[in-house]
Amino acid sequence: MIERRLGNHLKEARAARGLTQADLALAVSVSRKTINTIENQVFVPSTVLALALARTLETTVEALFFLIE
Amino acid sequence: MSSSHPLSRFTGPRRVRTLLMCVAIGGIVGGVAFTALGSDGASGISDRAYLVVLMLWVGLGLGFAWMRFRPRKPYDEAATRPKAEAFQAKRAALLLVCAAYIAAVVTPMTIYEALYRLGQATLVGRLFDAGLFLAPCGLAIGLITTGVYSREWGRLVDDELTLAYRAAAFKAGFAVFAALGAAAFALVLFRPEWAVAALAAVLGLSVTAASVRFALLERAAAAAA
Repeated sequence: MIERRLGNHLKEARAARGLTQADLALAVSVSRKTINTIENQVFVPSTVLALALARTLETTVEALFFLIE
Repeated sequence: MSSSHPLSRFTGPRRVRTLLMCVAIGGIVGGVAFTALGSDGASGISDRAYLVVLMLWVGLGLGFAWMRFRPRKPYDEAATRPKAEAFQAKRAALLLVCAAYIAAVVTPMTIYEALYRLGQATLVGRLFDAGLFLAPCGLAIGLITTGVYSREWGRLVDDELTLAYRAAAFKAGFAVFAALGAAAFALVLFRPEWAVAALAAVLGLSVTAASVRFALLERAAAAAA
């Protein structure tokens, strides 16, 4: 089985918009821990949360997340 | 709110504080009831004392059910989010305390009762033993599943990460349940009189495993944040 991990540009996208983890967490109704664990690739978000993050950061899911093979 | 209460730095948000108060009141009144009614000479603790404490527990349970299900306004998310995150840390600490209590005190005590005293216990005494064992287990499961706090607070406290951790916790709990359950089944085939004690061990240690797993995952995430 091919092992795939989910990488992301969440930290860069968030910083580019001048948002803190707490700001982004509030905007998508999750805890700051959740944002932190996604940024550190500890936690893989659901499609719904990924879409919400992309919408809040005014980008696309593909621009925000990518596969590491 | 919790931040203005003088005890809030020790006991956390209002619901946790209320929970601790209920436990304290239950302990004090139960202790007084046993002192007043418990000793009836040669036969030890009387059914009357057990009954008073059982009724007290039922009362506390009903009080909690009311607090959980009563209608209340949704929280202001922006204002309450920091409190919700502080609550998550306190919940992890409380779960570790609960797990230690279940594994080190309640489960061995229930096993002892089941092995040596079950035959002599009255119906009320057995109900008391069941409550003594199941209440902390229920509290631990309630803390993991939001069962002991209101739905509005649960929506705020339990985000996607918590749901993933809850699933991992129940997976760990089920693994322990399956392994110990299989061992208990094999044991009981040879010693049927140990069935109740084995069941207490299986249940108590499964709840302990789920609680510890959930608390450690939460603490690890909090430490990394």
